[in-house]
Amino acid sequence: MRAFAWSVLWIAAGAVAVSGFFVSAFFPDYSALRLKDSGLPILLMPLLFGFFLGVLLTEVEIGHVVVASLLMTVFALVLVAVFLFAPVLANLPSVVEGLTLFTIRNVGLSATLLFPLTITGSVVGHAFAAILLPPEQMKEEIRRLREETRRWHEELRRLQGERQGETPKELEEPKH
Amino acid sequence: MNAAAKVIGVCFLLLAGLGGYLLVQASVNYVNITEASTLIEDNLRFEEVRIHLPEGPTDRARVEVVFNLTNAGKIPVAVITLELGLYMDNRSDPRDPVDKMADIYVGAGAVSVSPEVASPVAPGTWSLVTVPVLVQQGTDEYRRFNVTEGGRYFPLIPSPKVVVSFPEFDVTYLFYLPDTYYSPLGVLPVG
Repeated sequence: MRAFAWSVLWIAAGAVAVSGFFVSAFFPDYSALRLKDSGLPILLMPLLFGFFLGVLLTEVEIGHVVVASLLMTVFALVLVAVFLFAPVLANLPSVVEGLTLFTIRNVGLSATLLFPLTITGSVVGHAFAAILLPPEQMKEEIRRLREETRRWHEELRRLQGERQGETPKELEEPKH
Repeated sequence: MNAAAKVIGVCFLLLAGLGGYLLVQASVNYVNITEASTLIEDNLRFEEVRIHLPEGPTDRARVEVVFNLTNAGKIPVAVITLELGLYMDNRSDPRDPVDKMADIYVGAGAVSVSPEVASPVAPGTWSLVTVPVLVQQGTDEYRRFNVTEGGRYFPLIPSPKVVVSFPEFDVTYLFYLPDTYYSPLGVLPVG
């Protein structure tokens, strides 16, 4: 339950971050962040936040990470849509009549761009974290597996030595 | 979660906070600009038309069309372009004004400044914008201009083109003023 709550938090936080930077990149005139080059944040931010999400969800299965990145993207697109229709939600008439088509085109483009980028980022992040930043539970599991493997090897060598009529001295008292 | 993942988590939340701030601020700005654009069409009005007749034989007649811009929005706004066409109604011509437009056209007038140097009108205040139209004596335009009835001129100015900018946001908005200026009582020349 706790892990689920954390996952929801990361998904929500990622969606807010992705949509915030996305809107700033697409509509720099309205944003406090006057970005000169809008292409780079549109491509890099979903990748980066997907990567972060993958790192933060190291303890869950890769399939769940992909689902989480999909949810993050869908939620981010909902927030982008809320931004685009903010004047309508504020009961203002749409003065820019061309915006509706522009809006749909942008949301469509964002959907196309965001999904593969966040998923790629999350998968890479998950793999990266599993190798370089394994969680304590995974570390313990790996340690136990190594220990067990070592004991099996020792046992096999001992049995092999017995069969040949000699027991290696270093295996008489196994070190733990 | 190990220490490195915790650091990444904190960074992630900080970036999410920044993203949320950007999203909310962009939404508020977008709503304010849309509101200001909506209100500006109703709050830019014809104030008056002043006619200055030429004093010497080589002088030009000068018509000043004065607009009142009241900023009822929440953000500063500046008029950067105002273009209009001046017509002088010939009341002895019984045709409908639409039918005689080509015969009563006097000339065009415009003011245009770059958004960087335009004077913004703060929210809740108003400002006057004057558009001059000059008419050279001895031309067809002057002949059409100098048509009076009882010493009064009857200028007609249909739907000027307006471009406003929102200096804080580097956003411009173009529209045509829905009003047409026409005074049935006529306009006396200044002086």
